[in-house]
Amino acid sequence: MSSRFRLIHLWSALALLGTATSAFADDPMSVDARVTTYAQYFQQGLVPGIPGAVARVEPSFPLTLQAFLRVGAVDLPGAPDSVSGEVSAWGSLGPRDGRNVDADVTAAWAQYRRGQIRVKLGRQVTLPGSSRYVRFDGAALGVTLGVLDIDGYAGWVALPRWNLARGATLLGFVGDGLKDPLLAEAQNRAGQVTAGIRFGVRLPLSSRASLAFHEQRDAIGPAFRVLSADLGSQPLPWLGAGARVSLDLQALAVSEARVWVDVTALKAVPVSIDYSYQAPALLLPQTSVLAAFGGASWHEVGAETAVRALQSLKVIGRASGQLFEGAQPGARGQLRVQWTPGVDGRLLILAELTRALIPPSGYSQVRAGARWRASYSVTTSLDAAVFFYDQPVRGVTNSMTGVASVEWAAKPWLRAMLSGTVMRTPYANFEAQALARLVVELDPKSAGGLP
Amino acid sequence: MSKHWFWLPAALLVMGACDRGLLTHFPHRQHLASLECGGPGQPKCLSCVSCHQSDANKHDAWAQPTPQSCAGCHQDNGDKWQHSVRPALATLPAGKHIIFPHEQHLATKELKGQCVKCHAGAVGVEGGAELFPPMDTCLSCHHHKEQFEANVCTTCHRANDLRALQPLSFFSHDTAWGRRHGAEARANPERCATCHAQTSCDSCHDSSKPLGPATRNPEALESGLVHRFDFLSRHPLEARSQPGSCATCHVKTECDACHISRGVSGAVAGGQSPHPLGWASGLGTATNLHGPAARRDIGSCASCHDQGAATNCVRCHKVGAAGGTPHPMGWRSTQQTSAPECAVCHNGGMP
Repeated sequence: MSSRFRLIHLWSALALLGTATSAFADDPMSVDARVTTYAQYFQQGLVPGIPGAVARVEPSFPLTLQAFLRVGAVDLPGAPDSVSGEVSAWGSLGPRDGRNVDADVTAAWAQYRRGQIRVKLGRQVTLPGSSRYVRFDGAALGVTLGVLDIDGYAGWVALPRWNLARGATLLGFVGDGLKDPLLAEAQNRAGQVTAGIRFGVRLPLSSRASLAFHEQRDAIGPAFRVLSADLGSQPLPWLGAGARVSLDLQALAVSEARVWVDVTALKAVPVSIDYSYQAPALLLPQTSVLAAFGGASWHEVGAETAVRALQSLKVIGRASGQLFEGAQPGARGQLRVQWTPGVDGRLLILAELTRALIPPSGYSQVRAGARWRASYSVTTSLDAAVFFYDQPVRGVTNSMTGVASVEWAAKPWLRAMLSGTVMRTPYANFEAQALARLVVELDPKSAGGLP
Repeated sequence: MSKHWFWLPAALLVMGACDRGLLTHFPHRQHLASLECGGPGQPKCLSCVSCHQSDANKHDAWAQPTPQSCAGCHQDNGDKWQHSVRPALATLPAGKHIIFPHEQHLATKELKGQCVKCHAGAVGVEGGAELFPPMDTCLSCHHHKEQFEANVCTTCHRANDLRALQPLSFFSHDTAWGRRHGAEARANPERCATCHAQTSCDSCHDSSKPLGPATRNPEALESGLVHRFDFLSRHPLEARSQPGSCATCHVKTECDACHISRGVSGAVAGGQSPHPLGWASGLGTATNLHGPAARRDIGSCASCHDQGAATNCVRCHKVGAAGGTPHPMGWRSTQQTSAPECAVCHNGGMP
């Protein structure tokens, strides 16, 4: 059986599963299932060539399939609603990035929760200190003791892939590469382990504080050893605030910090103010020689608001200033207007302006878009943007993109979409892409993310 | 064949135009407040339960009116009102079921039997309250906040419904939520998991997928997806502007994998360096800008130059060589110099 037929078979099986599980709609157990198939067509790929030149590639028709299944509130004898689980995977056929067949499992876990104890086994993610978003194969254990939450985890790191392309060494295997670059090709995950623990406490005034330790090791030693603290509070109904800081325990320096304050005293004009700090070198695994070079710290102060006027008009603005120690300051500003006339929200019109100063360069963006739910089952959208670059990119100072789509919700559980994109960029004088998307979904309102 | 592509969307639009409408426009206010009622020869006054009849003692009270509800007053032509009750509205929207004793609440002195004190949207005007009360309406009377803080939601909500709920009145995912949701998720991942699947995070953060979220979802205009449009041209700018943002999802060496496959790397035979001439040569010359760039965002350097000592700075930046010591002022580390990454220079391990 060819790989293509295997994938189609998988799709059919999951679609049947999705249909079959609809029988559970009124059962206390919850089941979400979704299978999404994408067919793409590239007339011209985004391939950089000689500066300013257009690099043509052969037409390509990659097919991608994503499947997601989640169950929740499963009963065990004497333990109602105690088990939940999730499986998510994708596969692709057709040439893309030098491969014809590719696949991965992104989530595969089961959780048992009873009273104040929770145990989770399988492929899952954790959000530790400066290493941000870690997927691992292992176990997580949590317990709640009064106002105290304790969560720990341990396992083998599986981010971002189990089979990366040549040159994309898994996090931390740079250490082997230092000894011999050829070793970077002989990766294995045996030495890539992670473990961490978090203590959280619920405080008065809707406040919460936590202290967490995270360690992630390569075969040659610790890549990340981070102690982080979080604090969040809503002392008044109209005032919220939070802060977090991460301390790299190897460099004995703060790798990241953030503070924010939300003020909603005027409901029509909520304001959020934030400050961020980063030491970029400390966001690298500390097994990297480059981490020892240090580098300038980065600061950002920003403010954001989302003003709603006349019920149908929403204006979102953000402005921020950045400072790189010892370098020129940078800045960003964005203003977006969203208009949804009428009470049924069928039409959305969007306009956006962006300006980014990133010395010695920068860019400006002008964007306009609209989405119209033409009927109960048909939705169309148009989205277009022009970018103007302060300094030419490959000899070109602007780029233009237009995207159109039409989606037909044939059934509550079946949606089909066609979209087309045309672009003129520094890398292609003209480029066109087409995408067909078919979504089979058990519960369109489930929080399983974007298709 | 290409002409047919034009007709398909057009046909879909025509089919859709024949479809049913989207929302109810039933004049609740008129029925509840504007009718002359209760007097001699007048119909009896209506309340919500005149049409939405159910056993109010039951939880999940939700009664869809029947055509007979209309015909009780509109006796002239009962069939005329058959279409006022549409099947599409017969199902309570997902997540709106709550475990809630309506009758007990209606009997309180605060409500005095008036449903509209919570369901003000039923008789409201544009810009007014929602049909279903937001959760802060419940929290204004009760002490459910403690349960919320402890992630106990099933006191009022069915476990099935949580994944379809959207917080509106508090914990709202609005304004700067996109910037701070990561911190919230770190601080209380169990709360996120109450509604969201891990796939919900992966749908944006998983860089292993072959299609980015902006490509997969062109209709999601309002979503703050970062890779929209011509991101390829501006990705070096974005990386410089917010050096930590790429690391939110990407491992630095993913950059090198792409550069190698596209031939824009010194690590591939015949590949081109993306740097201009003089980038790292000629001490003090105007074109030698690699130092300031590295100090500004060493992470971007690591995108390509973290593939072994031969690919990075330690060839020149070591004691006794042109670049001198690589460590910045105040450099500290708990690492032993025998650690492989330190031994590259400190123990003569440099290949």
